[in-house]
Amino acid sequence: MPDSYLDWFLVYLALGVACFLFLRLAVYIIHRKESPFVWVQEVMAAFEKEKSTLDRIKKACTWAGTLALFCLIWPLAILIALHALIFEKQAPYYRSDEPIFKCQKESLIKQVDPLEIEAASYVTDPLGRVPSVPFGHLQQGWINLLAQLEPTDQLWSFKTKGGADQPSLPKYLKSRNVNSGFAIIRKKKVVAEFICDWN
Amino acid sequence: MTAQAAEALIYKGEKLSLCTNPLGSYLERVSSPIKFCATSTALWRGYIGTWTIEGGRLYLAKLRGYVDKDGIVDEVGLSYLFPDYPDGVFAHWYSGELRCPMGELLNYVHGGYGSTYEQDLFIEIEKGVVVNERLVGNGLGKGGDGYVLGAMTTFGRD
Repeated sequence: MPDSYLDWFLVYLALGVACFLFLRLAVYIIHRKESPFVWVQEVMAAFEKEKSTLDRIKKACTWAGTLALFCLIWPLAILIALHALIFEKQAPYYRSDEPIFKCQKESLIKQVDPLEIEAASYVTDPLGRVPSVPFGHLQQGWINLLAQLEPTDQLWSFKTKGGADQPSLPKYLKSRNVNSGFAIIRKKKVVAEFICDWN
Repeated sequence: MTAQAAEALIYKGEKLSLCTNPLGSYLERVSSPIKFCATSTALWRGYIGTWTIEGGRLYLAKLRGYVDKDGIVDEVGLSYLFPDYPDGVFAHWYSGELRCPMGELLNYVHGGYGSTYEQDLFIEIEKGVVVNERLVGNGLGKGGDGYVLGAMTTFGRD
């Protein structure tokens, strides 16, 4: 066991050196795995022109300073690194082939019954210029949606928020920001949507 | 980008330019397999619709569109999109504000419907039904000779 405060301090510094070497090795291994061309860089470096003495001194000083600083504050450095690894959110990952829907979770209103929706969606026109079918001229969009509905799916009505993000635009340019319609929810995810009102 | 050719709107006996594309929202919502093709840089959407307002309702009365049939551009009409309604369709799918610029061209913008004219007639539509209209003045032109044809984006008044 160390007898004096100086001995304890030396042990602390030795642990810092050990941590530094371990972390440096880990970074080296990880980077080697990530880049198959590291060995090429190493070979190319071997052919590089001899560096000047000043460059070598600068590099040595940098390494010595980094090592000294790390040995002094290594517990704090490790805590910061652990915090970054565990708590900091990673950048969201988007698959480019995933469809993007207007309907988001916060836009959902309530679960609906397709038959009730159809009954309430007929459009009439005194000149008879609309078919007497659910959603009138938009029926094909509704048919396309129902074709994707599976037995375990849920059909929800939705309405998106809009307009608030463009307060300075005139009204005619702000149209099409509020979308309402119906969406298929499968495993808590929107998998298809039919927009029947676009304002 | 070039200024785009406007749609036409026949309203209260006058033929106006319509700088809004109500058919676009229809094509998107039904995921129509029909793709119109651009015949010029002034008509990227590939069609021009003639709209009417009758009895407070918005109708698509005519359509002149261009489609690619085996490498040949063919002109099609309303029946191509709505085979059962060649004489017009009720635009119940559209909600929003139609913009009809009128008068002399004040400021030409070489893109979209960005040009400014003396007046804008805004007609608010709710599911194909007119709910409101308002006329907004944008200033006076230099000509003062009445309404003129401006930059292909407006028909002016006949």
